[in-house]
Amino acid sequence: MSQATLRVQKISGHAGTVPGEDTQRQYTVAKLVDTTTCIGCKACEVACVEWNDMPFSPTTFDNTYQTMPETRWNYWNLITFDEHEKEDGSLMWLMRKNQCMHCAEPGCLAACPSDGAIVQYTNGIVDFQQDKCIGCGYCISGCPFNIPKFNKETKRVYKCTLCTDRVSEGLEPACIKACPTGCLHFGSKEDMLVLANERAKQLKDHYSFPNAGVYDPQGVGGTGVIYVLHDATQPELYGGLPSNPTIPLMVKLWKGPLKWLGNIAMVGGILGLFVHYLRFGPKDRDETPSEGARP
Amino acid sequence: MGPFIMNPEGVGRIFAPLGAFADGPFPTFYEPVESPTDNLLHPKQTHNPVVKRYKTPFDKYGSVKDGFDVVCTTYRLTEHYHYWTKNNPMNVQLVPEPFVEIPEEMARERGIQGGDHVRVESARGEYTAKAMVTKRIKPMVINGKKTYQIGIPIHWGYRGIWEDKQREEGAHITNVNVLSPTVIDPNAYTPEFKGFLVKVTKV
Repeated sequence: MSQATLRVQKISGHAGTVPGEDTQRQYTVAKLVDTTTCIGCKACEVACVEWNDMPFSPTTFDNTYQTMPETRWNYWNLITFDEHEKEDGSLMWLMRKNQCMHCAEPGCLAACPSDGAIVQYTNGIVDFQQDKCIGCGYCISGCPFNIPKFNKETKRVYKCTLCTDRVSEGLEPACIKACPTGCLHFGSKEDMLVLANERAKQLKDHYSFPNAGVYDPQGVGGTGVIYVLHDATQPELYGGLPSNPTIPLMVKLWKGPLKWLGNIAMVGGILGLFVHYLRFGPKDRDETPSEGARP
Repeated sequence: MGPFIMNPEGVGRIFAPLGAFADGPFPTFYEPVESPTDNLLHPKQTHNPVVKRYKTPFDKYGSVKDGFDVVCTTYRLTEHYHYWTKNNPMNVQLVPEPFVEIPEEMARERGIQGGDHVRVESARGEYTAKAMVTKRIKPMVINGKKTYQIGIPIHWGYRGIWEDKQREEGAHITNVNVLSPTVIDPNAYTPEFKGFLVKVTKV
């Protein structure tokens, strides 16, 4: 979903610089999800499916209010429902809107070998370009949040686009527009952080949530979706949100040192071949016929 | 000085013309018609004496003595709208089929696991759906007796995407409203669907 008004700042599998990089500055955008005021109505799920014109996919009863166990290639936005019993015996029903986190340092983009299949715009949105996707699935292993999902029929990977088509026209994403409680906010990352910290402080000072805090993990350079959590010390309670997400080590190695090692080995091999030729010249054919080889 | 400075007597008044209320005018506490316990406030009259009732053969009432030992309540979900949206694939995708919410402790006691079919019976009818075992409904201690409560969302019955599929497979579909009593508040005409007695068995 390439958008003309959005400028690209990072390209997957791309050698050299990014054309037009740093010619334009934009606000980094962010979604703020206040899990403390989410009522789990799933309006954002419906808005996402409808705006992105995705087909319905059947679900089955799974002893929970959660629509499905995890996001699908055609279901990008899923509220996780978790019943958590606190030490004092009181119960919390934790709901968290789960979708692509739009990391500042995206693992999917780092892992992707196809030139331009994953891009990051100057406003921070990470977007998949399905026309350039080769269906290798490396982005799936590169994502610490288990978000990109493979479609077996089209052999492409899909995920939340942060409604690039809406955002590039100055509108908020569809999920934000649908939220009836105002638990979802959209704006510049800076503003969202201010709002999030204000809310976390309110929860600490005026409600009984001494561990309330903001989830903006630095392991992936901060995210384009930030959460206000009742208990920021235990993000795992919220549908397994990783407390310190990082790009998997293999992806980092493969795309960093190992890539260079491979390049050096390949160039070294060719160079060695050339040096060998200069030193020893072409290989001479052994002209003497072997005994009894030919009648 | 009190707030009623405009009244010569300096206190509030209540205007309740005869015939405007079927009961009252002051509120008091009554148990539901089907209750697991006695009314401590009015031991001789546990429920409202002037409730309206339907008088058909279907309008029967159960008690704990008859084995109806579980309190049941019915409610709606945010994902569905009454009985309309079960025909809309989008809403059905969010919540695909009916369920009965059962407290964890009760489920453990009766050997029910999430996804098992349970039959809920009241004096008036029966309803079968899958069990959703939850921590959210806790056991209650009422007049010193441990009492369980279950909850059933109302959105299924008659026809719909799930119902039509079930009927093809020969299942008997009932509406959860066959469980609840037609006992009606004499003033507001609100039916008493939030508290009644049922039996719960694993199918």
